[in-house]
Amino acid sequence: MRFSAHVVAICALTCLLTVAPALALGVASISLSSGTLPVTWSNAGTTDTYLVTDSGNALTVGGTMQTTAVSGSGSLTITSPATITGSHGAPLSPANISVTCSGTNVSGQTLVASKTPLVAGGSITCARYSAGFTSTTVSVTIHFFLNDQNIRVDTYLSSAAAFGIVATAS
Amino acid sequence: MTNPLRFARFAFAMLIAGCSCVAVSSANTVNFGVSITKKSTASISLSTSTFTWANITDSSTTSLAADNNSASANVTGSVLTTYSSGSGQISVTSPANIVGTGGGTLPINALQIQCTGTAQTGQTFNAASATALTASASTTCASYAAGYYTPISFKLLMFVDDSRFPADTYTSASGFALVASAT
Repeated sequence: MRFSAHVVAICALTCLLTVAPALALGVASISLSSGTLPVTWSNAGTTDTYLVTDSGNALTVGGTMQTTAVSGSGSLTITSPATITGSHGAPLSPANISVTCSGTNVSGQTLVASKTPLVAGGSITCARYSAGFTSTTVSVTIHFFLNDQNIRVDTYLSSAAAFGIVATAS
Repeated sequence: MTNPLRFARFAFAMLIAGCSCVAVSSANTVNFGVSITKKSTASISLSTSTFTWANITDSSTTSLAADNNSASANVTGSVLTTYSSGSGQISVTSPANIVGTGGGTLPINALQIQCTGTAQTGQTFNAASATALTASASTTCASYAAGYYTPISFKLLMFVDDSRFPADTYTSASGFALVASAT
């Protein structure tokens, strides 16, 4: 009885000390490092599929991304509201906005959005991170484009939190 | 002396707690908004610059079509009006009466316009049938409802009532205009 209890205790401690470090928490922590908010198009026309923002404004987010070895993964996604309503009531789908995600070529980081339309009420993936990815200096720049061809004449201003750049890691 | 059994239970509890913690992933969000302004605009073109009646031989036709009506009087472009509150229109502005080379007078209201084409929601042809022009004023050809954005494409036709002016040669190199506006 005494012997078996010791064995169990030793095994438990061994497991705790050896397995837990291998299953270290994924860490995703980003912040806006450059760019002007809100993302603005002040003079949308009628013929552009990919109208650049005023002054070519882009948003750059940076921070820490750490994924668990072997089994972990990480991502940067962009979430959108279902619709944006103009000051005169016109609806605008976020799907009229496309994004390109760019950054320094880093092993384990895959930038997957190239003029990819946002999904109304959903999300798109901007970047993916493989298992064991570890960096405290992740930096991704997001360029925005507007398809102005079918937008009704109106002034659209979303809330400051309508869209999100979400970093996750496991 | 430590009880091995209690110690084992403590170790198991720690293991379970540790495993519970490592199952949690990390997430962090940066929020942003967008601002988009699309302004009302009106931009049109007319495929001909001159309407011609080269050889009027009677004085009894109240709506004699211009020679080039069917061939080249196409109006194209865009009229974008503000959603829910805007409006737009395309009008023909006219000069004063036209004096012929021999001194005859062609009253502007002897000239008529007709605007015709495929029906579009939000587009109304105000001059759907031959409508007399007004000297030194404008005549509405088509009007547009709030939120209109369909590309413009219709025909502007002109007619003349040849019973209302004497034989002469009348030329107006300028003075007429097709004007589009939108709010």
